[in-house]
Amino acid sequence: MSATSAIAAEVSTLSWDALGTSVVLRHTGPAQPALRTAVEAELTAIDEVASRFRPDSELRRLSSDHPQPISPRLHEAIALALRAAELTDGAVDPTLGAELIRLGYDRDHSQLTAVDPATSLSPPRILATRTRRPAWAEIELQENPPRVRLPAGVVLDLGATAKALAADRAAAAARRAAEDPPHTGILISLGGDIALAGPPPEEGWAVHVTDDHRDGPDAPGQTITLHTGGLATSSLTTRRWRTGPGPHDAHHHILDPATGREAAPVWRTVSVAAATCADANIASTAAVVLGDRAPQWLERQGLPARLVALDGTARTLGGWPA
Amino acid sequence: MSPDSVRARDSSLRRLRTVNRVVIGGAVVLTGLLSDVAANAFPGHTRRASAATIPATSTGTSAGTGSGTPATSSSRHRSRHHSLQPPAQAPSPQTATAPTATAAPQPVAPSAPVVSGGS
Repeated sequence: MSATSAIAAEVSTLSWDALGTSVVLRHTGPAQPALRTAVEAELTAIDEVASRFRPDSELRRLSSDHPQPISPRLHEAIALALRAAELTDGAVDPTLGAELIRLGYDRDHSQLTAVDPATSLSPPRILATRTRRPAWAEIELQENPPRVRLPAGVVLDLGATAKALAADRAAAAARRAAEDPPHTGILISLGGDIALAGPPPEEGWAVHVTDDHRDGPDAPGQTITLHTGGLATSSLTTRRWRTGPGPHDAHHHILDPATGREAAPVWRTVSVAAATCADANIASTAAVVLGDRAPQWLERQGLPARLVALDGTARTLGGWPA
Repeated sequence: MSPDSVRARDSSLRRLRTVNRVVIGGAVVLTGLLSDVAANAFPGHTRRASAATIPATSTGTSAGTGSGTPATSSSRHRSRHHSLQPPAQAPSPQTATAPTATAAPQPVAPSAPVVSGGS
């Protein structure tokens, strides 16, 4: 794990790698090692319970078709995933783990065969659409004591929402760990999913939205200022892999629950701001899945959003700066 | 039986009836109060989500949104999470100033914008 540290007069920044992606911790005031410690503890904790790739994670140990006790943290992660499914009428579905595995996403993305970034996004080959009741609606989740019963054969994938949850929790934890919590502003970026806590700097937090968070602030996109809440960006241009040489062997990670295949490419990248990173992530993921219906749906939610079409044309909604 | 005895009996019966009413009424109120206390003291419940069936489409792009009965769940869950929440303050155009920095070049420069993108 590599780390860099930079101390500025007003804002401090740390960056390192975790959970298979990059972490940025930026906060007002001088550097405080306790903040990184708090963030790392949160990230480790969510990885231990919700990772689909760690053989020892609590999620991997879950079996289906009978009630079983779970940790409060996994309960929180599953509850958030079910909330995402409910609020999007199933567009964001946590029960697509088996479909992702069938498409070859059965290990950490870094171990998959990468797709040439120049490879165009093509519609998936759809064999059938689903008419059955969605599996997420059959999950029984009990709060106290925390227990869950998964329908037979269901493999949970909490990837989308769990990362955003981790960002929200890490930002809150870092603020609690600060020497002066009421006057410390926190920004956490977890693979481009951003959570804020506490008072921002006077000029706000500068954030550049683009297709791939690894491309840096000079990549084509837009730089905006955030003051509160969270921001998430979902893109079809990242987390892609190949299972063969054919045009239908290039896959991406955002699936359409109606088909069990990759979401049809309508928007290349969608960024959404919300009260939390989790809500922003739910909305950005849903928007990619919804395709043509995304703008209307986002406007109904009242969420500021920026949608980038396949040709690079950007459309802004809900108070997102033009 | 003398008239005095009859009056005494009727009076006792009336008092007994009043006492019965008070006891029954009190029992009903007490039962309600205890039920409420118990419900709040032991909040465990099973949540089972329900949702509309995802409709078939010919284009393969539908996720079922907006075309079926809204999903429902327990009232306690719904009251907490009834909708996605917008930020208290919408994003604004970038301001010209940035925090001052003193460090050497870093992978994430202290004054550079943080990048949000797909991961």
